[in-house]
Amino acid sequence: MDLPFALAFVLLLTSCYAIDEDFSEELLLRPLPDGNVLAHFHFASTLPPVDHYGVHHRLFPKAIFQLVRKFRIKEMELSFTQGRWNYQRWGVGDPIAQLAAKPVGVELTASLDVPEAEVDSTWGNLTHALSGLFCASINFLESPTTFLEPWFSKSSRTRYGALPREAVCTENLTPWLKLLPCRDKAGLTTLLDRPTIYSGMYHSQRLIITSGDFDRDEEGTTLEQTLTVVLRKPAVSEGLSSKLQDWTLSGLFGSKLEGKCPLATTSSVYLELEESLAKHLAGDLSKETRINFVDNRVFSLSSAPSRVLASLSGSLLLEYEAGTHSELDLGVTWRAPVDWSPARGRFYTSRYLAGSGNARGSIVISFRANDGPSGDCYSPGIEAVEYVDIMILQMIPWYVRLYGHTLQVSLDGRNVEFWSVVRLMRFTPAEDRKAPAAVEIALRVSIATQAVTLTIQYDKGFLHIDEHPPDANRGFDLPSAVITFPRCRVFKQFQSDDVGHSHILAVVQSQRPMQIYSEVSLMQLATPDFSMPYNVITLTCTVLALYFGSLLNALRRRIGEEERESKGT
Amino acid sequence: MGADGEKDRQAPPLKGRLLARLAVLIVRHAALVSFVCCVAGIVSLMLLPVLAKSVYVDENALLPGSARATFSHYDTLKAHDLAREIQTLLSSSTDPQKDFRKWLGDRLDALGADYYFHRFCPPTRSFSILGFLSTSHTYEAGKHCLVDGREQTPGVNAVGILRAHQGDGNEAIVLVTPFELENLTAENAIAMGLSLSLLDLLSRALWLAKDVVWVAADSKYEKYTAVAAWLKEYHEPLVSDSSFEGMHYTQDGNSSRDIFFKRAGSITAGFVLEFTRGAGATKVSSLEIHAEGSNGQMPNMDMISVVNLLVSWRQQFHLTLEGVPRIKDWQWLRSVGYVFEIVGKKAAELRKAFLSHAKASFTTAEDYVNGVSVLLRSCWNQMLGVPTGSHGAFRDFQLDAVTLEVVSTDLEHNMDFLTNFGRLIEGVLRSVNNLLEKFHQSLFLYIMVSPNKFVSISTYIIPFGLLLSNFPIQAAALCTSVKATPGSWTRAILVVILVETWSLGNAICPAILFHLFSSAPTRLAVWILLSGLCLAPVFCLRSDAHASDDWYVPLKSLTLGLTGIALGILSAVNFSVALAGALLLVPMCLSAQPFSSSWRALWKPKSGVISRVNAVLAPALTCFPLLVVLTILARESAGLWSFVELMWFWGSALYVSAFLVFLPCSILCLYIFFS
Repeated sequence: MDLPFALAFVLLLTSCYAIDEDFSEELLLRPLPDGNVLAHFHFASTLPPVDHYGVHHRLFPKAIFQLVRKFRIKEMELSFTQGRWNYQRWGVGDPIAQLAAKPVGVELTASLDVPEAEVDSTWGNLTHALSGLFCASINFLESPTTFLEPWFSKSSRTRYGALPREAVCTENLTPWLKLLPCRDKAGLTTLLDRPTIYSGMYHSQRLIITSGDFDRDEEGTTLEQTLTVVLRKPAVSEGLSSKLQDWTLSGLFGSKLEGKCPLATTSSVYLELEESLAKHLAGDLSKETRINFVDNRVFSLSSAPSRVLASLSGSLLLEYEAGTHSELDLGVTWRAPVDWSPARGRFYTSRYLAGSGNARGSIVISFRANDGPSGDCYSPGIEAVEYVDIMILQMIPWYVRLYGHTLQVSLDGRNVEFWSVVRLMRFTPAEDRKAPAAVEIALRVSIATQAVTLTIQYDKGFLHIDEHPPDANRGFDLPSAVITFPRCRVFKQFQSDDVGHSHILAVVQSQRPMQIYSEVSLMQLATPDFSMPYNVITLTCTVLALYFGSLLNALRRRIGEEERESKGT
Repeated sequence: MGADGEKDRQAPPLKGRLLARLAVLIVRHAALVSFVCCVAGIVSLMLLPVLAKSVYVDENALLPGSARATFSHYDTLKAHDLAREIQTLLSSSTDPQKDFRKWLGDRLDALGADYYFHRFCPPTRSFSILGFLSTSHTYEAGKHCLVDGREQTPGVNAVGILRAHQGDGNEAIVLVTPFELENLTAENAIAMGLSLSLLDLLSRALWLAKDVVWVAADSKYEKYTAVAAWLKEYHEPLVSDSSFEGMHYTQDGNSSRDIFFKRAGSITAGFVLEFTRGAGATKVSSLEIHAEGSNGQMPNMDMISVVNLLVSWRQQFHLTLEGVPRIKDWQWLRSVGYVFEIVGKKAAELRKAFLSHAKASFTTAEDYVNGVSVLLRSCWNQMLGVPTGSHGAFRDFQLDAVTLEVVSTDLEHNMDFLTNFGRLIEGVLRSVNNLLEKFHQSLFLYIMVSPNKFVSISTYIIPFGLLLSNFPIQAAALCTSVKATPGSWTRAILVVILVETWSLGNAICPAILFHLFSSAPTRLAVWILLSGLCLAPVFCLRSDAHASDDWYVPLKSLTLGLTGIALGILSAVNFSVALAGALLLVPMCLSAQPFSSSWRALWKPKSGVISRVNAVLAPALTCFPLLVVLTILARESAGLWSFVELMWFWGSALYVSAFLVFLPCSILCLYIFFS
């Protein structure tokens, strides 16, 4: 084959691939070790590059396209989350958990293709636009005290902000659904019964936009909408002992799956069996077709999968085509009590506030080595076998006054010299009422380390009376710390390469560093008694009255006269 | 001031500004005014139970009783089953500690709760002068604990955290059930069973917004220690050495996950559940609330009023507060109660006559006596400064907590009672769960009179204020009444400084003696000897001058002034101590005069009635504290040192006030009396 021909072929291929808009809908179900069920909806719309395709679309939502064009969004991720992802019970070291786990409230990351000087103002406009689009108070992220520029990010035009207090409800879901071509009228979205998904244990909806339009790398624009819910196990009267419960799609969501969205190119349902659960299945995993999935000694399924994918690490993915089954009511019936543990990652991470009272305290981030499987964590390089790298990004509001010199690291319960463990650090002090403090630390510890603890002390500042939120006595939220293990890449590799057009599988296969969000903490500041202004006014008035009273008295009094009078009498 | 007074007396028609004139008038009739103040103070003190207000829920968000409790007989049965399971497990097991922990861990895991075991050692009782007011004890646990010089196994708290399904994990409610594995009573087992059953219910509750932390507090070394150790680790974790070292001494078979100290946001409120066997054969089960924390700190009153409201609304319990039982037999108090009842009735009739809508309520003699009993007990608890239960540990971290103690004789067969109690706890938890903000309303300063009546600071400050006002008035009166001789003020100041320094030395003395001597009687003897020796030179100072009869007046007025200021400050720290101090010191200070002058006043034909009465009372009142101290020394010398140790351990305000206010004041009065 000569070169020009090959080139032409490649060009033809790329243009063929990205010639049309595409929409796919997928659902991944996974039984969790504590008996609950994880459901991960993944909708993806792709748009060919504008240069090829123009600006008139069939499927891609116009609202999003306009956002991308107007604010020149290269990458954006917006998440609305209610409840906490339980890293210990639901896992951390697998791609779906990585995608699902988000901090409580709203989190927004955006990479904008605008000149450096305009990034902040464009970000502000973007937050307002999103706020209007999703009926949420994302516009609070406009204030420079709420967002920062992460140092570890790829470009300097990235901004990160979080609103831990944002309550998430159906009014955020409805506009999100409107972006889908079938809305919730057909396909997988018909399962989204509002009371069911909002009474679950975890609810996180996301919007991920990536656009290659501004780099001219022929990528086009992709909109990924995902919704992860952890549905509680069906209530049983057994109570204390039994853990695993049988479930079916109709039992979980209240309705069966009827057909697919006619506009979707792919519409499939996956049932994922984690590696440690799959081990319980009899038979050799390399000959996965031999396993009787419909009926084996651990569980039985209500219908047979159309395809089984096995990852190299041993987890299984059973695929069902939603379109082919006229009525898919997937269900699992447990045959034997099985106990498996999720991929908990190397460390149990927690961030908390130490200290009591209104004056001072310290922020503690602690890592404790976990037992059990740490998950599909691929670490390139030899160094990584001996070391664990940890990157921490913590944004701290300005009214928390950090004492930089108290920043301390301890390994296995012993304080160690700071720079012997910390490789890089950026400490951006806060500016009162202008910018939050940001602490970004990259640690490198030996793989044998059992416990890492970081502490920093702070004083609590005072706010003006008008700076307090209406429920100031509830406390002030400290946003989650974002903890990344850059050398630990989470992904799954499948034995058969035939992944097809599935976006969910593409996501699962793509390498990304492991990321953990810490808990949101509540900080009590010294809150004034809000009836105090009244007292102050009263007191001031009294003082003024006394002052003027005695002043007038002194002015109109004639001492000489009085003395003469008293002498006269 | 003195000069002004002289001038005013020379010109009888008062002139000048109104306030000054008023002050002069008061000072001139000081004896009458202070008599009236004293009487009014005592009467208003006696009236406190009558003036008590009904409790109310201050925080609207609590919404007590707005939802139906779901705790049922089924849950009670489950509690009974669990209790039985614990008992059989303990009786059949060879290693009860380990098996029990395993069992509890499995139970909590099945509920979906995060659990862990927290090890702690009791704190060593150390005397450090600097650490008196900031009582911070360490509870670090190594492999063993050193308790009274012997090696003991550490206490192990089991903690389960029920994560609210949709909550953000910012706030938590703590439920504490103390247990003692070594001798687990049937009541204790039921308390554990009920707590677990309640947790099971909560794990299915959709309304839960705050995490629930259940602490099974190992009360091997007192309940308080267990809870305090856990709270200390929760709020002030040790990042350095030993906390990590302690990790390695895990119970075998437990994975390392079981001992990670897990947290659940800031604590909103704490409830301690205790079941005890009632004395006697009465089958009436009752519920007692304990609330006093260290140094008389009280939790927010809503904690009590919510319980009271739920109880009185459902009418299922006999809710009580601890009282002084003997008081109920005092006939004179009952008579006083009758007087108040009659007066109250009349007042109610009058009010009804004039205001048609007024509620005609009055306090009966029975209520009055009960009220006094509860009030006295509460004051006594506040005065001692020692918390009445493990809820006190919460107050040290500015958290609100109460102990709910079920006193019953026959819990095994009292299904209804247990169910109702479960419903009550569920209701209370649900109320606190409703809270949007932490407790911040103003009702922290109060004294309970009965479960549904309380005296707030605005009321109880009145008798104290009346008593306290005697000090400045009398001091001013003394200053103005006597022409000061040249050296008398200098001498008075010198004596006061010496006595105050001596008292301060006395207060610090135990801390030094503790390290020097090992046995309590030696310490006590050396202490008394030392303080006696140091005091002797002060008493020798008197010999040099009796220039005039009134030589003692500057000294007395200084004493009065200082005591007044000290009591005023003390009332902000611990009101009950200040009130007791005022009751004790007012008569003593006011009547203080030299023995010789009172002797003369008694026999001088010209002296008035007041001075004669005073002359009789002065020796008795002045010597009274001395006699009390001597009696205590003679009878309770063994217990005295441990009492001092206790006071020091709790950082009690009583200790500080006894040594820095009561002692110098009574010594100065004695000094005046004997010179």
